[in-house]
Amino acid sequence: MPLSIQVRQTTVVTLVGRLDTDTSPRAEQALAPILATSPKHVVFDLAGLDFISSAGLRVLLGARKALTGAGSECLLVNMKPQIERVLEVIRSLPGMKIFASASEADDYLARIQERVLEGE
Amino acid sequence: MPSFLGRSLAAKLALALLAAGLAVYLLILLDVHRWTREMLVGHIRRQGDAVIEAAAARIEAQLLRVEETARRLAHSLLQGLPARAALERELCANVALSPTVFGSAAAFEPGAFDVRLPRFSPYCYREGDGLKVKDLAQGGYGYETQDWYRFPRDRGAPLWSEPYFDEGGGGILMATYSLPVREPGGRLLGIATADVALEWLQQLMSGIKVGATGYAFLLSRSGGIVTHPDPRLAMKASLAAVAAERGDPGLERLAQAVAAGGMGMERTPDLRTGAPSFVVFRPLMAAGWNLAVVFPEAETLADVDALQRRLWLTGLAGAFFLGTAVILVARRSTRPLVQLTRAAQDVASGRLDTPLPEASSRDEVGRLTASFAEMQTALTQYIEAVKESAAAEERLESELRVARQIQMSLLPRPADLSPDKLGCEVFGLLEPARAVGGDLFDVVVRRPGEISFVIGDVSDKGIPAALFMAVTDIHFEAAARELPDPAAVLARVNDALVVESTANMFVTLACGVLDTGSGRLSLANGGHTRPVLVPAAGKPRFVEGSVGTVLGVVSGVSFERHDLKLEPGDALLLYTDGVTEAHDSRSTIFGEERLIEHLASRSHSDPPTLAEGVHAAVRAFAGSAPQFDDIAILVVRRSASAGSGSALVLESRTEELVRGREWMENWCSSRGVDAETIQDLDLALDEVVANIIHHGYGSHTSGPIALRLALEGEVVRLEVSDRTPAFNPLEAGPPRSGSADGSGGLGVHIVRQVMDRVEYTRQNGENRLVLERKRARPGAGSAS
Repeated sequence: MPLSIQVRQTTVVTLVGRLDTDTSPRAEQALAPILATSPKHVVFDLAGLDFISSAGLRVLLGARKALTGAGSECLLVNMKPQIERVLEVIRSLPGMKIFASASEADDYLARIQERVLEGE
Repeated sequence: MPSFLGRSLAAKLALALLAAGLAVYLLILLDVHRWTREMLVGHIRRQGDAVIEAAAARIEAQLLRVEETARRLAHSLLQGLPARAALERELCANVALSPTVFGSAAAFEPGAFDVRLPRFSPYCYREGDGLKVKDLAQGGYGYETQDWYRFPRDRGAPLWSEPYFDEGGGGILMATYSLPVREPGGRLLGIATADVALEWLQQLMSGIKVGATGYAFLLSRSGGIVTHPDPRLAMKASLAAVAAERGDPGLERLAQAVAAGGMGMERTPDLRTGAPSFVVFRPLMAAGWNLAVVFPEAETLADVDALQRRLWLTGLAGAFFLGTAVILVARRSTRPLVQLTRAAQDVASGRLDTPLPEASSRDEVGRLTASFAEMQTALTQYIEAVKESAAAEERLESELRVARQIQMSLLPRPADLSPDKLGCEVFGLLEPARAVGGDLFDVVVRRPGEISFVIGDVSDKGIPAALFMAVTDIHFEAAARELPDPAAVLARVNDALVVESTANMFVTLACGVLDTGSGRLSLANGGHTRPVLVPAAGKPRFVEGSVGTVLGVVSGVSFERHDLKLEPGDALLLYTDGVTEAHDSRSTIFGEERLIEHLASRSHSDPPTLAEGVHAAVRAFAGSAPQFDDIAILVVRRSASAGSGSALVLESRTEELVRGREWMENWCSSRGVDAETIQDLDLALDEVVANIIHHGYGSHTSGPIALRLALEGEVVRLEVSDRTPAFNPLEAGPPRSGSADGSGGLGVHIVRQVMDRVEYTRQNGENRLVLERKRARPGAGSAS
């Protein structure tokens, strides 16, 4: 019986509260060490996020930029409507995947893995 | 001990008793001294008299025998003159007869014995153991010129001579008795004499012993000192001479008394020693001589002095024992006093439970101790009572203080009345006439954009009124939150109060509900003073509408609602009758006309100015008259700026965003702005202000960022102004989505998306960005 090993290199970042001009610099600082490890995927769980402004967007965009440079992806899940509305602005950007829920993102990640395995 | 002597009762008692005792004793002592001395002096006198008597008797017996010899001779001569030889024999026989007689002479007048013999005086005297006879006329001795012959012859009376040393007879001390012999015819025959040798007298005198040092001495008729223990004086001096020599008055008195032939006693210095002495003296019957006995005072009074010393010693010992006894007794009986004094000091210093000495004795001290104990008990009880009543008073006062705090806490706090929360301007003041009062006002936010307010006056004052006011307020709050109609609110509060009011109390209330956005106002009045409408344009006037009944008396009463509209800047002033019925010193009331008059010129004042202006006017009117009733004033004003706007200035720091956001959210929610609109405004505010902070002022400069909010109909308008150089964020172009580091463009893009209208202007050196968002209809939901 062949051995099957699944290793998910997924980092989950949970943001709670407001991501605005005042709080974004702190979020940026907190993310920096995570991004430095060049994870394959970073999942931002936004279920607890009430508010995001362009400053917050810039934090997410910064993360995306760092990750796409390393061939990784940034996944956003569990957005509240008001967050979603703002994120419309950046939805179409490459390297930025937005999912309604964590399971949706899981499916996506599983597919990617399969693709990778098939490609090999 | 000095302090004991100086201050204690015992010492005073001891000293006084001792002094009194000593004084009495001293008097007794002096009296005893005087009396014993007198007694002793009398005794001396008697003793002296006795001594003199005894001596005188012996001396006089001898002298009488001598006189007898002379008289026998004279008698014999008058019987007829014998022959010379017979005469001589007779003379000798006479002498031999009396051993005292030394000799005897018959001295004849010239020729009286024998005409042939002009002078003839046979004298028989003793010599050795025998007798000798000689003729005194022989040998040149002129007898007829001698005193012993001359004086009796001249006076015709017998005479004792002064004692003398006989030169003719044998050089011994003698005295001679001379007796004139007269014939019956009167012719003087001669003088018969008898001599006495005074040696025996000297022996007799020196044999008289008076005590140890006393003595007797003999004085001649003229005061000459005949015998004396002092050989320098005997037969050598006279009393008068010694007295004159010594100048002593006692001696002089004695000399005079002796010369006058008196008898008695004198106190004189001793002739020998000069020591004070008593001298008792008395003349002898025979010879006229004087006997004197000397009692040296030192010796005679020695016993008295000894007695005196003894008495003094006894007295001192007695005084010592008396003093000791008195001190002991006094200390013993005053010891409780000392303890009592200490106890009293303790009590005075506040230690009321100090133990008292035992009141064992039933004397004054014991009674005092008992009284003191009673006083202590009474004092303790009194102080306890005072403490209790003070504590009760303090408790009442602190309860009143707490009551006032509670009452004041029932009133809306200034923070509760901020325009941001209420959506309009509200100010109220309350001044109870006492610590607590029965007036009240309250404001309740029914829902964003709608407030309910009330003012009331309970029929009484003080604590009962305050309690009733609290109950009323609770019912009002409950009813006001639930019911949009002020008349219904009053009706419900009335019913609740009627159920609860058992104290015959009632309350007047004026209640209103204001839609802060539109200015729609409903009022209902339950027996309260009529509110005044103070319009921004026009004269103040009382609000029309009926004044209903008071609350808390009859249940089921309905109230009338009166609707009106507040234009921006219009104010409604509600007050209690403490305002209109305030009295001045002449009992004139402030009245409604004066209130309207006062408000007429103050249409544009803000609520605090209006309310405090009315209050100040009332106080000025009342002057020195005490505040009679509680005063409450409530002013509700619709903000003058279009639809009630508000402004806030931030500093250009990102931390300030939080303050700006909270202010905006408060303002909006108090005006019933929906959550989604608030969220969008939140987003726009964050973007715009962050933009100004980062790109306008930059990190090196800072300045103000002014925010203004206004509600115009259904549109919320947010103005953001800053003083950075001209900068229009709207011209920054569409979002450069590719630039991930982000520029202002992304934020502006978002702002444009969430706001209905965005407009930039530059005026007076200020960048001004106007953002508008139409709010969702209240209750229409927030689904976009």
